[in-house]
Amino acid sequence: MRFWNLSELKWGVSMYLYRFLVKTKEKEIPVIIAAENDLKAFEQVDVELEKFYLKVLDIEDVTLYEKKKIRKSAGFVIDESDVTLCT
Amino acid sequence: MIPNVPDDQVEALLAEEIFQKGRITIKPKSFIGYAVSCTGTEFCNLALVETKQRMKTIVEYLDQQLELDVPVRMHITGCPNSCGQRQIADIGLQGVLMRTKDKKMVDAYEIHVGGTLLDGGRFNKKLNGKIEAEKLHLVLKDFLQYFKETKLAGETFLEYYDRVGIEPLQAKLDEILEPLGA
Repeated sequence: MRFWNLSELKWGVSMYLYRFLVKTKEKEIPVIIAAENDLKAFEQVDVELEKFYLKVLDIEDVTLYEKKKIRKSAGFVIDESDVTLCT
Repeated sequence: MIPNVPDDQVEALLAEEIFQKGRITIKPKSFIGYAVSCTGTEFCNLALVETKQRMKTIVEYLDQQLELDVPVRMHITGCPNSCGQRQIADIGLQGVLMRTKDKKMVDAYEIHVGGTLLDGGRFNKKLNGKIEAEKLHLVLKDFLQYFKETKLAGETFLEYYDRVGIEPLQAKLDEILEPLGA
């Protein structure tokens, strides 16, 4: 018999994988986030963008397109048609 | 759908109270009779936005505001799993959750046009632009008013789309969205 600890249960029940598209004046940036809920996922987008670009971007909007429960695994395919280069 | 009604009892069935009070009709209006929605955030934890009640409100509004000689098949779905099958609709609405420049969280929708199940089927194509939920009924009204003014008599949305292509529809949507700042 196996006894689940709280962290395993928490991971199994409530973690999601999120697919965002971040729009700036220059381009659209796909961002993938793992988080417990929508609010934390949106907050993590800002964190990851700043870490990646080493500055705060001038963001037009952040759009959540999809979320999936993470159990053993989860993923997204990002097609080039998902991203529109702004002119 | 009510199956297996004998021909000679159809009139009697239609005389029943449920058909007389308007809750069910065999002659639905252009929009509400052909609308499809997933259950949305009300019962689905993968949905990103509310869909079912919003669709009902929108199509009732459109049926009040616009009279068309053809039905328009509008489908709405709250996430890419697409229980609302927006890909095969004349006008498919895909829900997204958006944080705007001023950090406001809003339900929003993208419009896809030209889907069908006829002749082997074809998925609709996305128009650029995200529409905030609160403005969606107004945008769709203007968009469909343009369809009404530029279509041929008896022409369906699919036939219209095949005749004019996606560019005029994108141009019209851009024109509608510009004063909204979308």
